[in-house]
Amino acid sequence: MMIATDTPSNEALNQPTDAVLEAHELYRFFHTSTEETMALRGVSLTINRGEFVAIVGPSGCGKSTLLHCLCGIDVPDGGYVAVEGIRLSRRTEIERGKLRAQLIGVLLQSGNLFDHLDVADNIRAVQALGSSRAPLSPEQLLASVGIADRLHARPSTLSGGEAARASLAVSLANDPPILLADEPTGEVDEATERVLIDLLTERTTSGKAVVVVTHSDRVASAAHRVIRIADGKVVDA
Amino acid sequence: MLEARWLSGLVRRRRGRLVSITVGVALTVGFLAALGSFFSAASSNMTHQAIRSAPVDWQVQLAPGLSASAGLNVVASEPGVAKALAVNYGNVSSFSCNCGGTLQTTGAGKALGIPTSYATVFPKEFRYLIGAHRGVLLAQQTTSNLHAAVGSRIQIGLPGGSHVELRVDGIIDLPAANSLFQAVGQPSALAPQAPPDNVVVLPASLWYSIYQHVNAANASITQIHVRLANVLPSDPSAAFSDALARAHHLEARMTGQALVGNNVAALLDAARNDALYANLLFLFLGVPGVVLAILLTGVLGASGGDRRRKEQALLRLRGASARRVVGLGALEGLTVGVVGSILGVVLALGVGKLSFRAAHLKATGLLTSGWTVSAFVTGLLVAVICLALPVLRDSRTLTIAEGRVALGAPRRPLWARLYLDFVALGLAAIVFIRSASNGYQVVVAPEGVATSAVDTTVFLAPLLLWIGAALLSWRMASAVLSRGGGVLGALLRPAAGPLTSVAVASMRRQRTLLSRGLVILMITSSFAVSTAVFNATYSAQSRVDAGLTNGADVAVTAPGTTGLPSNLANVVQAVPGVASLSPMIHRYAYVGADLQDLYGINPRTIRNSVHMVDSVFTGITAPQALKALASRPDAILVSQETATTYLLTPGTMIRLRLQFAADHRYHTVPFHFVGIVREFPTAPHDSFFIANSRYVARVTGDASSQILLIHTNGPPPPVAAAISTKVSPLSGITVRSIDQQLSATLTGLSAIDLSGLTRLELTLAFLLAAAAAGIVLALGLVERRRTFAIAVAIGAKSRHLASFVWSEAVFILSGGILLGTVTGWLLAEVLTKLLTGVFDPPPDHLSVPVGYLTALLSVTLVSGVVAVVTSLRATREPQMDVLRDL
Amino acid sequence: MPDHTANQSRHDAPLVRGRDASKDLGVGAALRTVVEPANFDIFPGERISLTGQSGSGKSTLLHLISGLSTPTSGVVEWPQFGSIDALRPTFIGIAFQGPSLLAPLSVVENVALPLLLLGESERHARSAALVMLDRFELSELSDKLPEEISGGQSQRVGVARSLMGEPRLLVADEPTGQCDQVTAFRVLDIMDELTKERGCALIIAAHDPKIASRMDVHWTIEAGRLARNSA
Repeated sequence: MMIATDTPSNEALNQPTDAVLEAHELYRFFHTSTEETMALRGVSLTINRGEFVAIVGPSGCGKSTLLHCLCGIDVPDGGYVAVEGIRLSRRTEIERGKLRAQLIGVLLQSGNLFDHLDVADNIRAVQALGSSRAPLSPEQLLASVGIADRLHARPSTLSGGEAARASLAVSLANDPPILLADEPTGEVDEATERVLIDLLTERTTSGKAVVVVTHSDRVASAAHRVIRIADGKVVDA
Repeated sequence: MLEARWLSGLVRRRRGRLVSITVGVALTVGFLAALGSFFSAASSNMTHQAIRSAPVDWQVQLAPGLSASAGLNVVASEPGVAKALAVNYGNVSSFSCNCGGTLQTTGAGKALGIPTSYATVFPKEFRYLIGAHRGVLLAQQTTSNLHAAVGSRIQIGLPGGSHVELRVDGIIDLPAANSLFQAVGQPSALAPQAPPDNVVVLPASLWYSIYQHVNAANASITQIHVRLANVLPSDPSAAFSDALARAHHLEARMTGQALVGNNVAALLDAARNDALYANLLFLFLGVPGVVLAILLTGVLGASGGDRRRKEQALLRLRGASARRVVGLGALEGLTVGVVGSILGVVLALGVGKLSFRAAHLKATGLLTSGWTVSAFVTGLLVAVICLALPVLRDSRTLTIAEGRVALGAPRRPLWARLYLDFVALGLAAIVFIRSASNGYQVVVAPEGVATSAVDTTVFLAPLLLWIGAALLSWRMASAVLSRGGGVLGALLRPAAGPLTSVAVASMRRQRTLLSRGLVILMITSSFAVSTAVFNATYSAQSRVDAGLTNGADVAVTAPGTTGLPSNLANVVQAVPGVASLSPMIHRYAYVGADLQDLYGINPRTIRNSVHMVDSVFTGITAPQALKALASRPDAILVSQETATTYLLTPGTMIRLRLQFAADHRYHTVPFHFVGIVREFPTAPHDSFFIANSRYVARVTGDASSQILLIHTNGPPPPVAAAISTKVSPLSGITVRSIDQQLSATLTGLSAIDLSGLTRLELTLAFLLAAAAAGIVLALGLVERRRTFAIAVAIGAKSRHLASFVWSEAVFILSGGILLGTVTGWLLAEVLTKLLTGVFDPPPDHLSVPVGYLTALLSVTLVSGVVAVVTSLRATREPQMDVLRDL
Repeated sequence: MPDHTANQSRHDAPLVRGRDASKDLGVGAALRTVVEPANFDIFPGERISLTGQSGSGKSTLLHLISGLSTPTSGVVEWPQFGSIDALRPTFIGIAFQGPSLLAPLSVVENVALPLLLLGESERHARSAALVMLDRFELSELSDKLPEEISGGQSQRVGVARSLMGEPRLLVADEPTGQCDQVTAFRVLDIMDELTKERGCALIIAAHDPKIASRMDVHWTIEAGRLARNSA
């Protein structure tokens, strides 16, 4: 492990395990001016190495909130998240950022690319923030998602599908052990979707984990396991 | 490297955002650099002018018994003394001349003995009129008293009874006679001395040859006239202290055997007060301008805040630490700051040359000025703060997920919850009332004391008023938008029709954006209005001051108490451009042992020629004062100082002693005290009397007038020039127009040259008001491009969008301009009261610069309209980049 | 099975007619033809699916059909609707793929907007909007702001809005892309009902073949080239 761990609560997690991601009793509230919503109510899950997990559920059920908490960009009000045995929650943002840059690839529904940088620079920016592993070159990454010719394109000139593929390439720039994705195939056509599913599945063959929040049946059926969320709770894992 | 790629991407693709902040920084830096350099240059200019205007820096009077050569040695060896020359003042009992067939005799006078190099070292003491520049030089007053001419033979009576005959080689004027013949070492309040009417100037060798034989006591004194080296600091206060200290040092060295008449210190004393007021004006008028420029930069920086926040959230998502994200913001800020600051300095150079006299700002002086450096650093700070501070704040208060969404409904800001607007207004009122209660004494500079203090807390009054008014405007705007739906709807319905409720809802939910726009416009308007009104009032009062000093549009003044030629009034009346004239008597009157000026006027007709303001009288208006004077022949108006000193109350009898023509002796004349006057045209500022000229002429037997006050039909300068041709240059009679007096006042030491500063300020205010209207509306519309594009995609037509946009524009423009004008007027009132010391005399009311304010209003409205029309036109084009995202 | 109504409507003038309509996007070196010259007709009541890979020009074609953009060459006409300025919201409603609600307006105000743009009174527009929201099972969101609802809910509100004003043609670009399948089908059911009730033609871009198969006519577009197959 590259990151030092020194807190007592980690000891309980440092058991030999295949688990690459663990979440325990996650709670998350949102306050608007008039009311309080409970988006997550005690969600627990474990993702193992080499697993392809789909998280499904009706819109507004808390899937996106769950994903945000799993990758540490949102802070749960209760419970904890651990990656590769290292606690992610209740850390300073600097620590969470470092962990995330090295261990978690994040692919959100939109806004994955910096507008003012071209695709290659977007990849390089993420690699600059990320790990010490020998990274793949931007050319290789984009070729692996099938848009090698868009190396120097600005994000605003990409079509919906191209943007989704570029975003995937960026999220894999540091070759993280786990990828967390929110609707990666939402804006692409069938053919592209198949390509993306193949790519994600391929990652799992080399022991990397993939977690995808999705509406797509095709994605869900390609997954090893489906976790169903409704009303902020896991109803079927 | 990330930082380099980041910055390069911004420069290539976010040029608009970078350019707009750069412009804001450039304006801030340019204004600050120009202002600051102006003031440091102006202060040093005041110092140098004061020093240059001293005809003689020091007049060191030697005690009797100390020889001239001994005194000269000591003085010349004093550090800082560049030149020292011995000058002898010999008493003369009489002058006489058998000139033109008659024997003319005058009273006592002085004979000066000067070394040959005197005129070179002290060129301001003598003005050569006719004849030789060396030899026996007769003062022009004396020449006319004796009816002498070049070549005439005059006799001077020496102390002890002997006489000496001299041949006149040349005729001179003594423009600095007051200081040349000052009583060194005596407090100026006692024995105010008019300089001797009769003076002859002799070469030192001739003087010695005459006076060495004079055996009377106190027949002569010796002074060492000193020109200091260029050793005094440029700051007036520091220069004043230094000049005093050096003089004291010399006096100490001479162990009581000499006293220094410190002319240069007296001039620097006036300059330092003016400089202090200048600094105050910088604070009161200049700083708000800088604040405004910074605010506008902040607004420009805040626009596109949503997009920036999402970028930063994405950076944090990808693992960038908050420090790195803030660092990127700071890098952007530094880049913008450096470019903007450089542009600002260039702007300052250009603006400085246009606004101020070239002498004030030289390029090298500006560049090396500490002010420019400070301005540069300020520009950097402003840019970094505008760009990095929001990042810092967001990184501390928002999670990454929160940073990626648009901000929700705004909570009431802290200042609103704490009612800081009312607190600020309350504090402003307290400071103002406190200042009022001690008579608006902002500068405390006791006469003759080296240090003077500025009560800077009074600056808080206008500052807090400005802040409080801005916050209150925000509160009001926000309240109208959130709770005034009914009123708003009624106002908008004619334009918005069926979209009224939607327009009102939209305005309510964007009340932060709209309130901010209104407040920015209100702040710029209030700045422009207050500056313009203050400047107009100051200009008007400068003219009143010049009028009081000059007397009227044109004033013809005889020297001393010599009468004007009796036919001069008729001659002048015939000059084209002369509308009316009033003769005025000027005599000297003893009240007790004190000699004061007495002026005689015709109270019924004086107002034909002279503009009288009420503020120069105490407790009564000008017409009432003149009516009181006309009510009885022996009525007299008394200056405030005289009334206080002699405990006079209206209605009491006063006995003055006036010189009668018959025997040239002073006799008692009774007067009836009817009122107090603070200032009067041509009168000195402290002690004087105003009486009926007819009465004075009758009782003294001398009806001659000394002053002619003239009201002109058109511009005074050509009339003054025409009148000058009717007057003999030898007579000593001066003809002066109000414009000459105005420019003398403004370039002299008794006033502050505001013209350059106000030109700069008014231009900036104009630009800012125009820019604010345009920027605020345009930015608001740019931020809503997406909304408008969607609305057009759904089917909104131009007229629909127009109803939205115009309702917001009208809200911002009308609210901002109205509140800004009211606040600006209030600020001008407060500033005028607090800076009473700057005005001489204080204004009765504020002056309204109608032209400027009309232009300001027009340009603001036009700018706003142009911004709206341009934006609406842009929305007609399908916004493909927005649609691509849909 | 072809719908009898659809057959009959073929004898009327088309709602939209495209003749050699093409569209280029970009400038200079980035200029590319996104839609190759296309010929198409959309008749009253027709139900068309449009499928194609991402980047194939689907959205751009829909922009041409709905009058959001004009063809670079060729012509797109609306014989029954008139000029391009008169199309929306009177005749054509658009349901967008991405978030398209106006941020300062609440959900019900967003949905009411097309009627207000048509000059209806505020009261009538609001009532009609509430009815439509109820139809789409979104009543409880009526006073929420767009930022307070999820992406899928926002998309459904957009669909509801597109049907206000009783358009004759509904252009829907992946209108259920952010919804799960169950919800998506429910939305499509409501769209079907409403468009059939009103005789409104429907063209819907989708990449889910299950959605495409619900339509009668199938268009595909590949690398900008439109191919039309009838049912």
